[in-house]
Amino acid sequence: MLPLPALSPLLLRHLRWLAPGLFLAALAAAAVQAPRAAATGFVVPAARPAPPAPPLYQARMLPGTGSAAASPSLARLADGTLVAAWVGSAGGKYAQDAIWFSRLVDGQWQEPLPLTTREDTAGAVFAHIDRLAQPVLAAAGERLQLWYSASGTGGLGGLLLYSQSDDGGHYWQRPALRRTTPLATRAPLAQAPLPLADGGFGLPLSQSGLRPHGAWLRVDGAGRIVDLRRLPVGNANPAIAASDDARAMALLTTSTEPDLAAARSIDGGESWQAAPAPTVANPGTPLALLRLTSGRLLLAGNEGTGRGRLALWLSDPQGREWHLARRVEDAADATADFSEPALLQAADGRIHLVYAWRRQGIRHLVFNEAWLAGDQP
Amino acid sequence: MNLLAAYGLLAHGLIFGGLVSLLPLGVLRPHAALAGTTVALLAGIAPALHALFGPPSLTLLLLALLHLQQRPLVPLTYPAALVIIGIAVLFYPAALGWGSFDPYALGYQPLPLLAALAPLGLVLCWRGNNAWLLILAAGLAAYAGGLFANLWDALLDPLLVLLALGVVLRGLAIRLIVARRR
Repeated sequence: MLPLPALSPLLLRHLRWLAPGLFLAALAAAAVQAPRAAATGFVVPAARPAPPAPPLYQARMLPGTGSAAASPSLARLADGTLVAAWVGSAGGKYAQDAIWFSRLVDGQWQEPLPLTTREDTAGAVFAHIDRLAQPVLAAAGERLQLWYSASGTGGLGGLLLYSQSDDGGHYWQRPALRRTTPLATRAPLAQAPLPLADGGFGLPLSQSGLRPHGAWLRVDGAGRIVDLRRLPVGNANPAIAASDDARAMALLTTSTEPDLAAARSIDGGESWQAAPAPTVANPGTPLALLRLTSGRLLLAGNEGTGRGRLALWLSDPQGREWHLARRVEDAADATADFSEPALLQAADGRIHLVYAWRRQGIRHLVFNEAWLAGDQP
Repeated sequence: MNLLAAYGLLAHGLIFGGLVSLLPLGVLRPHAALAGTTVALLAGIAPALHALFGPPSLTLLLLALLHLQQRPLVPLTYPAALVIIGIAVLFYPAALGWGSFDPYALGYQPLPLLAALAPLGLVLCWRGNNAWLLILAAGLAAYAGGLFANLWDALLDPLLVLLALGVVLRGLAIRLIVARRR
């Protein structure tokens, strides 16, 4: 028991004024400290036609990190270097023991290094961690933000974690806790974050609960959560792309329909309204959406049922007319699992796609818009 | 060191000790509570609770600390528990996806929430409920100090709601037993 000293009679006599006074002071302090996030907009370069170029297609596997790999994420540093993070095995009993990190240098992916492990994360946040999941990288200059989720004993519970590197990924701060739900339920982040004009990012995420739904999380440049907006349609796997500084489109999977759901924002993510969705059959697996420099939208995801077919769809800049552009994977065997795509367009116009390949590794494709416009999907 | 993580671990340890102190152990109660806190911190109970529930609210931590005193203070009375459950019934379903409005998001820019707390503080002051005024003041101060990014996390959490539910069920059971004896 805590041997707290008895309150002095003088203090007790003044408690009836002290308590309300302290409450008012704390209320005032909270009001002063409460953030007042001003409206912001997306950072979107002006659209320009894709330069004429022959079709380009390259495929490679990222260096292996054990027997399992999943949930890749891509980001581009200020000098154009591509970096990737994914969850994989670190030799422990789980396939989700560590977040791995690698750079693309001179066309080759460097030897991956463990950015954080299950033990590191547990030690940093003083919680029992069973597995790590869904790393998401966000780059602003040389600063890299890493967001990922972790679950507790038996895969129950869910924590959202944040780490930051100010030197392009060489040194990372210890992970810190963040929260997006009042219960510690899993709220995995989706790909990819959108840079905002105030230096922060908008992160799409899936939230479980009474009714699973997608959400738009706004964070500042230091990884502090500023705002949270619920998407009005869909259940999970939101993928968001901005077409200008105020307009963005979100595509989500639904649990009731085989097709996707769509939402739009015309005020920089402050509010979202339901919108016409593309007729794209998806089995409820993660999506990736990218606005190309030409202004068109590129969607990556599983086609039909199951995860054996990974496809790319193109649309006009408004996202109204979609057509199947390419199938990058098509297999029907028992281990056919090509999912969790992440898209990024580099400064040279090349489009990079990474995805989990049979849950064994991460596959990296490089192509251009000329290849997407090819004859056969 | 992540302050929120350290707070979460220590708070879960103390809350576990507070739970142990609820047991009818007579003269062994203080020793059992201390042992419960120690075991929770050293044997992995607090880290497991931390991963399952996240950092607890300051409200729950202070209720546990008050109960760990040599002469326990119990501000969580039947009426207070009813208020907490009433807030939870409105808050949690909406925050977990029911409907289009997310009240949890209000906690990131909590000026409307703070405005709603002002009349609550007036009511508590009028009723002379200094314990709850101080508990709420501590939660608000923790938020103002940067421990919590969301004001809801400082004031309310699922374990607190479960505790309030236990108080209400216990009160109903006592009323039922008294009514039957008459």
